[in-house]
Amino acid sequence: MACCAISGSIQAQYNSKVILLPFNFQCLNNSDSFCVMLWWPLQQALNVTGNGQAYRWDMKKLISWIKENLLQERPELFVQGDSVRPGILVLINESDWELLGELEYHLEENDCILFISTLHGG
Amino acid sequence: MPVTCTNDCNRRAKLKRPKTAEKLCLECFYQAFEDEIHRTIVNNKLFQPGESVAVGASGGKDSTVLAYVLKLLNERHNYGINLVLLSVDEGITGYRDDSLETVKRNQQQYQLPLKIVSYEELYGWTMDAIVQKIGMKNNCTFCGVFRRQALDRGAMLVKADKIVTGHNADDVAETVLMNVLRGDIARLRRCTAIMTGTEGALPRCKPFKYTYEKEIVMYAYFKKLDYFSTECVYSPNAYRGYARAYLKDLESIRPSSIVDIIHSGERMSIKKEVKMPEQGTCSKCGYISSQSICKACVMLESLNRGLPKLAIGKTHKAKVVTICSNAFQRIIYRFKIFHELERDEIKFV
Ligand SMILES: [Zn+2]
Ligand SMILES: [Zn+2]
Repeated sequence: MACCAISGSIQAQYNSKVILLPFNFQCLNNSDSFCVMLWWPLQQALNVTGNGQAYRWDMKKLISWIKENLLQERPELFVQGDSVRPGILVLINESDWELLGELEYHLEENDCILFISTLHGG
Repeated sequence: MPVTCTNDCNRRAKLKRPKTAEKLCLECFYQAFEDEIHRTIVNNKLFQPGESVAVGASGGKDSTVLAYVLKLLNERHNYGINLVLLSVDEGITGYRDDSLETVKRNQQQYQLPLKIVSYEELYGWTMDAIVQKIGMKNNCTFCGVFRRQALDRGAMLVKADKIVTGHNADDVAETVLMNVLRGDIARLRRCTAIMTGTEGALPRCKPFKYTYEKEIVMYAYFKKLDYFSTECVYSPNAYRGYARAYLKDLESIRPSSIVDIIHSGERMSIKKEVKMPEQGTCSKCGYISSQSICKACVMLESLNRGLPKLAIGKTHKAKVVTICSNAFQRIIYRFKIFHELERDEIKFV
């Protein structure tokens, strides 16, 4: 199952009903709670689209799905066009998504997707 | 399919460096990141042996990585400097409390001394109290002016010779843009300097001047450094936010934009006939100031008198001369819309 976390400012803006995430990475790495939070809605969405098949989603689809389903308020803080807003770093299984085809990357089972906002907080 | 590291180390690449487009494994990335900062420090002679250096520590990603890397480089390359963490407590409930906790953990993790100076002890006002008095508008100006002095005073208290801050390449480029747009020549000249304040006040330097934000965040993430990330609860600076978003758009098209803008800022020259504000000292508190009474003292007095409006009157702007190359004209055009926003903000020269 794919899991995602949105870190930093994003979840602060989108408040707890979307994704509850501890604010710093220390907690983030020690805690599974953030995975669970998104795991649920994501699994539901995947089930709707058909067992297993849904793993063929690419990042573009995932981002638009997050936008449609998780981000009720101010989606412009997360998405811009088809992609994430510039300044948000994306890690796929702990690797920079710029090495993996960015939007064209196809999700695999057990992938872990992490969004890190860099836009503030020096 | 896995990508291998550009350095032929046979390890798997984990990230793409924005500045060079190299695809590096973690080991090679750490090495490149640290070496680059070391070179910046050495080439600009930022530190002398025996100096005491205060790290402006906010608990955020930049200052946390800065404290970590400086400690590491100091040991690796024998700079012979003494590092001290220096934090300012603005007195913002819920925001500063948490970030100060982070700084306190950093103190333990890095085994560095920590000094916290608060607005309350320095000025008799917390930011919470100031906001209660003046409302949400303009409070960032108060906070910014006070913080600058607070760092200096804190550094003097711990007898530091120098202050280092975590300003990164993105921050510097953003400030260049904003100063061009505002025609603020005095600041434009200062903002690209890697070291400032050598003529009187405590010198400040920015070892991350050429370090990309993306790399700082990646470094913090992969090294699992403990930092705090949230927005100040009082209004974020809208104008700066637009400048940052614009810069990030540019970076996504061409990653070198950030250093390009810094270099543009460095190369701008100012005609001799442009009168620059002269630096003197404040007659009230002795802090370095271009006016006879420094901004903080003016603001403080108006706060104490209950007349905060006095402090934010318009000041004159130095005229922009000769710095509008074509590129910047395009940027200015692009930014015209943001000038509308700027009206609500306060400009100081
Ligand atoms: Zn390597
Ligand atoms: Zn003063």
